[in-house]
Amino acid sequence: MFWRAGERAPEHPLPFDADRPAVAAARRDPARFEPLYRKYVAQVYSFAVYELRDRHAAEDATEQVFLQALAALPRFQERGEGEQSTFRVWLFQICRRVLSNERRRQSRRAETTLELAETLPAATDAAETVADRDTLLHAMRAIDRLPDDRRRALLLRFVEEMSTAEIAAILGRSEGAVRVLIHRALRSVAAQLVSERPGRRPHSAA
Amino acid sequence: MTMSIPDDEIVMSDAYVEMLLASRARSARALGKESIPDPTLRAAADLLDRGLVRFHPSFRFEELLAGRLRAAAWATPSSEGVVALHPPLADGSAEPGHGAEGLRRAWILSGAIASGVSIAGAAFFAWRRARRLA
Repeated sequence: MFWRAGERAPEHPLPFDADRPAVAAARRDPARFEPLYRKYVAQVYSFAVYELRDRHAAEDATEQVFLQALAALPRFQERGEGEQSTFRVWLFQICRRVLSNERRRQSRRAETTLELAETLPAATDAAETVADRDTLLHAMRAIDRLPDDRRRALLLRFVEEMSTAEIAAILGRSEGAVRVLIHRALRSVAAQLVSERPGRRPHSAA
Repeated sequence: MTMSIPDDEIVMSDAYVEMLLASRARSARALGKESIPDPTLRAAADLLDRGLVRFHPSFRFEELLAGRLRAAAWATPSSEGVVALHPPLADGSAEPGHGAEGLRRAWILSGAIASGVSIAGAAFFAWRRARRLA
């Protein structure tokens, strides 16, 4: 790394963020924000669908997230805290704020339901599909009833495959607290599945 | 729930989820079932691993939002003072014949016309001068 005369190197070298060149280009010229949008649109939209359980509301939220990110990009700074200050984390922090507001607004309206059938992966065995569909429906209901931070931690871990460090930065918690949130969320889902089907344990993969 | 959970239990469930997620990349399922002792917890984690899939936005929505972002980017000042040459249309699409390529063509055409007018002016001036002298 080269430093200009008179310029001081940061005390802690920044971790490598694969998005850094694209972020730098977009900060110089906002018209070059598009690659970042293309890379993350599905992640943001997917998280919004799980959070809001409505595709149209998820589209509106996704639009808000990216418009806010574009406007705030000049203020984005990596702070040298490992995975905790990457562009993805920053984008999902915006996403969390937008979705919190939207869920609050949604709670005052009639409840919407996600078409759960669409969430199921293709299965070859029809019997297994029906069982999975049924069990997953119960699991989704259980997830929806979780406290906000537990639900978000669980979704970010399983759907977005984020590390506990990233989730901690997004939720403003410690990594240890995130592990506890996910464990408790799994416990709640497991308990719900058992109670929905008395005498049966949730259908487990071989 | 305020009941405290043993640290070992949290560490084990975290390790099991980590293994599940890692196995997605490897497309393998050789996970040690003994790594998480509670079968209901393991079954819930397995179910969520299989069932919580990522949703993808429709092509139409993705393109529409891309257009809106292009329009918003045009209106956003850049840190280097880069100025967009031509605003995109309301739907974000570029009008054919405009944009950087269209502008370049317009400059070439304007240059050619200006050169033509200058040459014609010089020729006219020379012709009038020659007539006056004659």
